[in-house]
Amino acid sequence: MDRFSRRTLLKSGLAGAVVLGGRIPAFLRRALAAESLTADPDGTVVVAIQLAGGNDGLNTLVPFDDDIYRRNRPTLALTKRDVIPVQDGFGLHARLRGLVDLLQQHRLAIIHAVGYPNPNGDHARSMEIWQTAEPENPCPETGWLGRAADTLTRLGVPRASCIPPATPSVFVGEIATPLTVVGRASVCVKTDRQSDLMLDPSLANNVAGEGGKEIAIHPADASLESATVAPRHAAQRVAEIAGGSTARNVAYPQTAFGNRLAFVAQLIRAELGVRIICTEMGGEGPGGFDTHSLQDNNHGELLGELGDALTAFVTDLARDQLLERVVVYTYSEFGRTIRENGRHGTDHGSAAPMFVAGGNLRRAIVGNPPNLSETENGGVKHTVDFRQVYAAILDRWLAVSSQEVLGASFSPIPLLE
Amino acid sequence: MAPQAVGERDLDGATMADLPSPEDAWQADGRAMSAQDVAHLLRRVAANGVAGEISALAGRAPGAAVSELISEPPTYNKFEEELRPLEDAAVRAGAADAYRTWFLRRLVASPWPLREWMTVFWLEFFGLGIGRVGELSLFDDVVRAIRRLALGRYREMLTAVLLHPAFLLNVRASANYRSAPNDRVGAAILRTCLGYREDDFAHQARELARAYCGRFVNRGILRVSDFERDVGEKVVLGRRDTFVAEAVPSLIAEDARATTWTVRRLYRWFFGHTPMPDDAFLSPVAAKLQASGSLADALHGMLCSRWFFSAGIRHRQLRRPLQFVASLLRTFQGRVKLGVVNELVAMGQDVLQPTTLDGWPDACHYLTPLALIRRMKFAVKLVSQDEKLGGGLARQACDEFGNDLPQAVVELLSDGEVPSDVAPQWSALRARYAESAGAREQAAASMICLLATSAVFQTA
Repeated sequence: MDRFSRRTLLKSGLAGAVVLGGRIPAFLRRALAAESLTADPDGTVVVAIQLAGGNDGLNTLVPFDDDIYRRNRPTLALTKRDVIPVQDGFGLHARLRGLVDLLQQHRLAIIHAVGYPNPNGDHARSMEIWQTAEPENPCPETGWLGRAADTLTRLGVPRASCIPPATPSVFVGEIATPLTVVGRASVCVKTDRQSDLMLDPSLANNVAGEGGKEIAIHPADASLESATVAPRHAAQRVAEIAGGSTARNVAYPQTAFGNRLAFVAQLIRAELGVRIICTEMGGEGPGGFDTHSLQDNNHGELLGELGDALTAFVTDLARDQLLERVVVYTYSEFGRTIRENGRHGTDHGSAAPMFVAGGNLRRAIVGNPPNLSETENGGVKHTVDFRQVYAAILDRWLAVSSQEVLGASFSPIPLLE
Repeated sequence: MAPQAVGERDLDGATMADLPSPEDAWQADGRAMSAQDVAHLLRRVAANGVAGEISALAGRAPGAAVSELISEPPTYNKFEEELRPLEDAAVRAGAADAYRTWFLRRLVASPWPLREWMTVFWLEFFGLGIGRVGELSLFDDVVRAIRRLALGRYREMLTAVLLHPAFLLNVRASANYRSAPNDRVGAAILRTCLGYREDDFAHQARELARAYCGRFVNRGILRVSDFERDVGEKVVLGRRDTFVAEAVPSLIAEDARATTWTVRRLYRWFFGHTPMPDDAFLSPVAAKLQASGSLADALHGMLCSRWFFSAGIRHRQLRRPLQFVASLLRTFQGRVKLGVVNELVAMGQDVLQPTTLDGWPDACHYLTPLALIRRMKFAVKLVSQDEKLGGGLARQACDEFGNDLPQAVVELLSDGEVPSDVAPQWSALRARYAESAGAREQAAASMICLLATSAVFQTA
């Protein structure tokens, strides 16, 4: 670059420049105009919550009456006094009190013993299996919600454009975007805070489209429409929601995860047409739920953080009548061993319960409780294949063919209305 | 990336019938280039033009200009000497993000931009991802080989990549036993080098996989076990012999389908895809590549052609985040910091990780409302004093262009014409810039942002 003088450009000039409007592809003019935001703002939404590390399902939904459980966990077993009973012989960890309320309000379902055949005990590989729903594929490239986003994008793109009318998926978090939301064609936007998506007035004055209240955005108009009209509307919408009276109906816990869920709620409330949102708790790599030692207090803290934030999130959406549009689910790469180890912790197991929240749930507790005398990898043997849950979300919620996304037919679990 | 069907209209209403004949299209354009021609050329080969480059190349014939862009400039060695130690340090530390940062710096600041962008092209071509390969030293090694051969011989490029251990790790095929050929290797070759799709090539993939038996990657080192080699007869790309892996690159280089596919990928990269021509249209270039084996020759022919400089090509390609970010930084000679890499990821594109083996999604998928907000915010941060992004470009531009800044910004970012959607704001900013020296920097920042976030700047 330093081979040339920069100022010499001005001497040569670009005299006789053509009118740019005539050069912009018509599809770009059409697609980037304000009509972009008309894409199904009322569509259903899936929120995926990744819990990294392998959550101990047995101390989350606790089989407090089970003798095998008590015998295998001499220091970690929770008793009836330590839990909040939700089913015969089962109770939720005391730090999950908020979720018990949601359960009673029919806004939460718990699915027993969710896993997959031949479970893998490696963090990265097992998480990848949950993210991609392709246990048989040793080299997966896309996530199951990424493939769903591909389908939604394909169905949603107007005939006269190649540009998606809305952002199909968003990841809210600091870690690398999970494979869950990586699609072949669709693009997931990553963000960690509301301000990432807001243009405050001083900034907004500096970007194209601002101040142009009368900008022509009619598709038939031959003038150059602004590429920024649609995103500017989106940014304004986020800002309005953030500053408006409807913001934050409830107090979220002041934790990183609580803040993320508060932001996710704002994204949904802004009605930007985003159908798939992923967020995480536990971080990257082995993750915070990897409780190999001194599990008791650590796990309780984690569950408290999860439960409080999730309760606030569901309550927040319900108060704005938005919960009817939303399904939230949690996933972790595996549960943990039934037997505690010598360090007052547990090791990598297999199946674990799954939480699903939303406004259209059929049942509170789904699936058969695990039989602890049957084990897989030292953990709980699964009674529900996680792809049955995914199939329910795809077929009954996103209206995307589960067979197409999962590559096989799975009987959807009776979860959603 | 299939060619458009006869009679089918593309998104801009064009049909294959609107294309010129291949003979006309690929004829060399011999006229002297205008500044707009140069700006168009540099948008496609270097993300965007820098003022000095445009003025230096204007008035020359495309052939001479492209030859210069293909050739190593005298300052390149010095640039390498400065950057290479930084990359080496990142590799030694296993710092992938730092490595990404220096890679992006190449795209922005290299005196040989075409070679750097061709490196990105080949990474996408082979679907090589830093995360998939895993071992940073191996990834760096294959990137260096790709960079060295990016404008060299087609066969050598195929050899360097297809026989590199990183290629095996990229598809998780570190072990290739004779008793269980790893079909993923064969499938990856057929997908990336020949454009085969889905399951219609399972048998061919197995035959190719057999040729790769005996190749193992252990602790970052390729080990070849003669005992595990499959020296039996195989049929690879229609040819029957006792091929082993070392023969595969030549088989591909000699296959007409592979050269056509490669030219199709080059066409998509440099020309766009509306409309995507059929094989007949691309055949003169493919034949040239097949005959000479020189990537530089093939590229030279494409970039000097009448078709490349025609109105049907200009501003019809959308910018992915990488092109958007690099174009702004390059134009105003901004610094590349880690924050820039993170901004790219936030927009949905990792500079060293093509999303799948097929590459990154089409550019149009990056133009969703929330992704565009990230572009806007990036532009705003860049011109202001945002430390994370090494901002402050507005001040630099003021120093560089002085009173001529408004004109320079328009010429560099939007081909010399103020887009009509921002015209009222532009006039006000221009007046503010002229009014007082105190308000200049803010006005300059606003002007750069205004054009960088306009529709025209999302195209190349």
